[in-house]
Amino acid sequence: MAIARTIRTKAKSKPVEDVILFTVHGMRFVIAANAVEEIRNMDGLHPLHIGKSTQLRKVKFALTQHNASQEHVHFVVDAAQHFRLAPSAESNTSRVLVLRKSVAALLVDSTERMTQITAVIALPLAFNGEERHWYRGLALVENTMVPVVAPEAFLNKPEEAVLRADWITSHSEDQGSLKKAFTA
Amino acid sequence: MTGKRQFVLFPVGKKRFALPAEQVTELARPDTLQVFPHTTRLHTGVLVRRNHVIPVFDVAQVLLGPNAPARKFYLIANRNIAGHQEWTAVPVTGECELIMIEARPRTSNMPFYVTCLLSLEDEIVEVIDLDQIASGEVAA
Repeated sequence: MAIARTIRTKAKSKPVEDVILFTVHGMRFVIAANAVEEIRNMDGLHPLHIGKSTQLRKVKFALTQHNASQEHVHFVVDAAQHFRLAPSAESNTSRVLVLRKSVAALLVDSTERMTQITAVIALPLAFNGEERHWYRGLALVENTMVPVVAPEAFLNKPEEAVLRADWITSHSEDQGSLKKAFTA
Repeated sequence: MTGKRQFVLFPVGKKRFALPAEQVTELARPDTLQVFPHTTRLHTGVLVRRNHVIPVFDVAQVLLGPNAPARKFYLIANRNIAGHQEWTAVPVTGECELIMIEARPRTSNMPFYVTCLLSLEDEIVEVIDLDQIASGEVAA
């Protein structure tokens, strides 16, 4: 007797992505949770004074972290300046998102919570400015379109190089260990 | 062939402008404008309508200047951006009107975004080109 084979297809669930919802000057953003290594307060930040480069004025602090025998330096980008948000009375930076596999960290007002998104919707083509680099797209979070930030956009390679050189120069008395800080 | 075409007239403040009817998808009621930081001029945010994310292109700033009155409705139009068709919401101040009329050629002293003119009983209406306004702003 032939037994008819039935193929059961599992109900396909929508792919989900874990994201961290954060706020800057009252604006909400999300970032992929796997792009963030740590969320911390502002303790231990070293103020940076970037002189000539207008583009790098968004970098406000350096954060050094020690683990095992290595020291890691993260350059902390003020998210409000990165996104060209005008100074606001609402601003109250209190959290730092340390990015994974990056020398960048991000200074934000607050992190709300982790949530999940089911799709990243492409930014409409009409938007043709810097936002095309800033965002991976838009995502629906609680019936609101929220930009999904691109972690690699906070500091590009030339900016990283300038910051590293600046940092090493300003800490030249201890160059040996500082060079190690960037080898990760 | 008469040369008559359909146009959608829409008010921005006390003045009316027009778009070719084939570019217009619908007139939408007030909707929630969703904003996020960006650097594209004249764009104020997006609307979400029927699963479409529609950029809001506020041309009133070009047509009337910074003192244009508040816009209540959205005219949803098709734009050709880099070879792709994309919906755009244009904020307007009131109800729209569909007319069939023969367009007159633009005159040399017209703004760069005017493609032709519609001569109505007691008004001359400028037919505008959204892509020209956008590219004019990019160049600015």
